[in-house]
Amino acid sequence: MIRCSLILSVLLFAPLSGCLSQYTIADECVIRTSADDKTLTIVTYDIIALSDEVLQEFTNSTGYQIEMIRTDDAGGILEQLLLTKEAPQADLALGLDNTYLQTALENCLLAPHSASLPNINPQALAPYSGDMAVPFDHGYVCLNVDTQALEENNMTVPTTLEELTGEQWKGKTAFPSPTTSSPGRAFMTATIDYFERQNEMNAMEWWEDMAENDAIFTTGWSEAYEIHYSGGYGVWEEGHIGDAWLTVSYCHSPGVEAFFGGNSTISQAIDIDYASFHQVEYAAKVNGGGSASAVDAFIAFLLSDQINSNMPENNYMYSVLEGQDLPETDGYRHHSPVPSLPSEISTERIDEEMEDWLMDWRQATRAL
Amino acid sequence: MKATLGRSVPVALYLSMILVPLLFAVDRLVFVTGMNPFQAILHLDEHPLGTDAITFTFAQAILSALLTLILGLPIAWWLGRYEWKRIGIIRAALTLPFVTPTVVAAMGFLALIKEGGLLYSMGIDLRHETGLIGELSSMIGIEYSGHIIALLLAHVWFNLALVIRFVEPKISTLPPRYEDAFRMLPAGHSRWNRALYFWWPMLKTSILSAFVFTFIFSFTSFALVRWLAPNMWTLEALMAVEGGAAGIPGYRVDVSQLVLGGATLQGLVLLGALALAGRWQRQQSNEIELVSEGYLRGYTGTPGKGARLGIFAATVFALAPLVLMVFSSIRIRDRTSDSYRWSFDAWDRAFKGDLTYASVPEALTNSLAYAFGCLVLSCLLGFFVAQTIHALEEQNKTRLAQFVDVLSMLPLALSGVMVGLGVLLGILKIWPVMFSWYALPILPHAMLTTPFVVRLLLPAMREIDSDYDDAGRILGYSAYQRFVRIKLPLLKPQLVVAAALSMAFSLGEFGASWILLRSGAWDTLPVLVDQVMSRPKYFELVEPIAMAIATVLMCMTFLLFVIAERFRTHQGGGF
Repeated sequence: MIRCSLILSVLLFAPLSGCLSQYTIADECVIRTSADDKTLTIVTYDIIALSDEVLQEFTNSTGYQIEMIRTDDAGGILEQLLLTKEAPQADLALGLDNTYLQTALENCLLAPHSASLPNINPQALAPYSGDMAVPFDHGYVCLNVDTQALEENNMTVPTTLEELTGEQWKGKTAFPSPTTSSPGRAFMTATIDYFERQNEMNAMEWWEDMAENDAIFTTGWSEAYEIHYSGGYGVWEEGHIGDAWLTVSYCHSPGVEAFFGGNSTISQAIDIDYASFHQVEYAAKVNGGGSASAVDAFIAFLLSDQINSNMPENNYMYSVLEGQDLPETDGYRHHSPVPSLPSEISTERIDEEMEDWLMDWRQATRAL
Repeated sequence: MKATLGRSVPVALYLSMILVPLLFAVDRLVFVTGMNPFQAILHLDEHPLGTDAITFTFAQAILSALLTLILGLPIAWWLGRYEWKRIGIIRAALTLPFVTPTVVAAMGFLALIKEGGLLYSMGIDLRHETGLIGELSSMIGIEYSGHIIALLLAHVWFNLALVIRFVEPKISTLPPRYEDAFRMLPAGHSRWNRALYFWWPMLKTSILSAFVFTFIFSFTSFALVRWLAPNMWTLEALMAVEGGAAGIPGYRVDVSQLVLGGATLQGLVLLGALALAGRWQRQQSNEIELVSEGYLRGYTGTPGKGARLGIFAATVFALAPLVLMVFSSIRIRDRTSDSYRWSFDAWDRAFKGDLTYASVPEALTNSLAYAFGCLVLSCLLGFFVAQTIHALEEQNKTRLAQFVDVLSMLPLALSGVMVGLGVLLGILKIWPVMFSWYALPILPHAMLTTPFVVRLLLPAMREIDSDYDDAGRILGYSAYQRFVRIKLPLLKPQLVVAAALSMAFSLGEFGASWILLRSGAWDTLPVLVDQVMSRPKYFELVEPIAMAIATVLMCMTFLLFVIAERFRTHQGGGF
């Protein structure tokens, strides 16, 4: 019997042998299309604005069913697109940000959409304004600090990144890793620009100093913000450690804290010139995916006033629609400073140098 | 010939289910890295955390297995020796942690060790490492020792069921006259000598099997490490966090190298361990005669105070994190007044599906559908694989039997990332349409549960007296009639337990690393828990909703185990 089993296994393997070792690395961008069906498949991380109710509304109004392929974050979306490039599984990619977009474009992973768009805030269109991706939300990544902890320890809010390498900050900072977290990646990108303008040390030397100053490096934003940061909602969560008084989050995170905390927060965003990053998230049609009309319908739905203007409450990000801002309710807007000078690194440069930066960052920090 | 071919098809199917994804994954990673799997092992130290992860993986797995034995053996002894009221419920309670989704287990454990939690109020601060734990930490000079202790305790909690399931049946079915006879000998007078010269040889194989399986599950631990010891890395955790970028030509080749080397090293270590466990289990089946467990229990009588206290403590230990989880679903923080209130708001939202792509009733329906599919597939595959191994043993083809036996347990040795990558690449190449097939999650669920079905059925098949089959032949029964009228009734208890176990595992299986995870119409309860837990928790009901969903999941699993306990026989030992 076992012989029969092995023979059958071999027979099963045999037709597969032709499938192995036939990979191509890069080719010219050819826009491919697949047949339309009544299901729209979206590859995304967990966009919280898209609840069952919202999706049902889209289905009711257009007749398209929605299916989601979930990844961990924006990086996961890019990786899924790269892995399934030869047989795309999704029609729409939702959540690639401007640190990943150029790589997706370079690898021919996206295709032009033909959705009719409303007036979009020029700031949201600044990193990319072509027809291969449409911004649907945006925000600024910057350092957040626990003002209460600083007060208790007679410290002041830092005004430069260099201050964080001092003794009083030893073991008191938490950073999500740029290799596995998109806010982490955005902040690391900002440090490149910040130190290039300082002309005194380069960013990787600073990161090395931070590692020597016992900075905590985590794989994701959640671990840094929920487990380690002492100034956020993490204090209410199981497993909170609270050993970091400063972390990387969004400049409007204290605003969200205040919004849900009855206009009260001990967290403050720090506006240091060129040490924040303007992050824009995109919806993009997948090259080789199907349901072109469903993709266009969904992009239009996502950018409709009804959905997009609610981004601050439902997705904790800014709306991209012109004239929209954060709500004033419970101090949301008040506790959300807009950086005066965010970093200015082009998406092209990010694409060209990101792999090297990540390698250097890992060398410097000896972290993941 | 027809029957042989009929049996061969499911076995070939099962082997293909394991080997095809593996082949695809290895082929792709070799292509991307330009090195073979063994070369990749030698390059693991190039990853900044590679060497530390290997050391920590081995150290924590060995310590976890030892600690689980130390705490589990007395419990197995008390359970096996004495007559207990409602033993089915006690066993189900002690087994429940083993099928708890790890993210839920981690949350329950965090509730136990948090500031103001049960252990904290006893002066044991494992999270912030202050007081007693802080002193211990500086005394032994190991950084994050509080986190490591929390992780080891969680592994004990998780794997206690393995020790009980392997060892307790052996104790409860050993004829008491053996021990009585040994007591008459001069060497049998002292308790120590009886333990060393009587009980150890009798229980050795079960204890070692339990050790090996606990080692395996701790070795591949991921979610518990991530939540309880956030600064430490096991190989599996490292591969799971980085693995999304594996297998992409020209993109983050270092990740492909890590996954290829890490998965090969892990596979080799775990295959070796599984081969050992398989050998010990085979020895165990042929060693000694057994009696019914009721006979021994009646013989030794009711437990003393120490045993009662021990079992009570173990049950509390097993259920505490889960009970805390239920509390967390109705204890809501009030952000505006820095206080808590009691409310069923989270349950209401969970059942309506306000924060998720599916509601609890929808996800429960999906979970049950997949669990039922998994039950059918894994019981069928497991039965035929066990039958094949048994037939080979009967034909004295021991080595071949051993080979198939180890191969059948391969899913337990494979890294989830490796299988996930292989399944993705395999389906993309062979049959991409399969991705939109509703029943797809049944395949990875069945891959995970079939090894347990084999482990349950194989010892039972070995114990069936071949005289029954011969009698059937004399009566003129065909092979089919002998199977239906003789074998199936004799295997019924094990089949029922295997079915319940398959369903319970499937219900709790998260499976994110196994397949391209789809959400919406496909969401199961554990997927829903993960979906909610991974969201920013500014809104006060986010975590309670996750806990409410997890509570529904736990209740379903507990129910299945109580049912299984009614059918379980306690011959030999095994899961």
